[in-house]
Amino acid sequence: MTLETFYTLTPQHPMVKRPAVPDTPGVNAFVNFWNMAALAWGGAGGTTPTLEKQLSEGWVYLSGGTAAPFDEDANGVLCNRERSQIVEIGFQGINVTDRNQFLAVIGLHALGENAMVRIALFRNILRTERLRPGDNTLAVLIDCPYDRAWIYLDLKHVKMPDGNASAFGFKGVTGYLL
Amino acid sequence: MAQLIFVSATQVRELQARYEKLIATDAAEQARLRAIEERLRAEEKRQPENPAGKESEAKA
Repeated sequence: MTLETFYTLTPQHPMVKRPAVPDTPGVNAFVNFWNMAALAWGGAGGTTPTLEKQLSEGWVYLSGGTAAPFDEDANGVLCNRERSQIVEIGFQGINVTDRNQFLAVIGLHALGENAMVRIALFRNILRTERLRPGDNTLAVLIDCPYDRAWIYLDLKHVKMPDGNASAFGFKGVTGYLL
Repeated sequence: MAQLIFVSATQVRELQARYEKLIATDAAEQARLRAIEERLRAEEKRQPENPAGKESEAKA
């Protein structure tokens, strides 16, 4: 079975709006970056990866040093959003039904052995995953609750339980309507 | 290999209800999300013959 892309979001194209037309559902989608960093990262200070590299390669860097403590999220809910490194993905299917499903395929690139990401839906934690060095793909399959429902996914950068953290980059997310 | 997470309809509704309670008293968060939706609507009015989604997906 071939899946047709419903939307694609990248740092360079962070917003998609496609109205519904007869027999073809529409979509609104966006990605935001909550990227608190303790350092003047990637600019004139000369730290790497530079902003130029991130822009040319099309990804956003989330540095390890300012990743959230592993255990800071209590009661299964993401906290301290404003002081975290979070990739926020929002999307809305138009002319869809509760018989549809959304598949979000997320591309991350881990720079080191100790990269962890916490995945949340509507800020409620679904899972915390350790990333392998290099490219990683996360796939989230969500039953559509109803037409035009907004779905909010968060990817929060957290440290390992022992406090170690290495960085990762967000490359993009591709959505499919099933 | 992709790591797959599945969220059922029941779970989606439960998490959505918890989220709505969570942000019910968070005026700043509600305003932020409204602003994004308004920007999407404005984009549609600005480019009626060239929907942003098509352009973005074509480039991606």
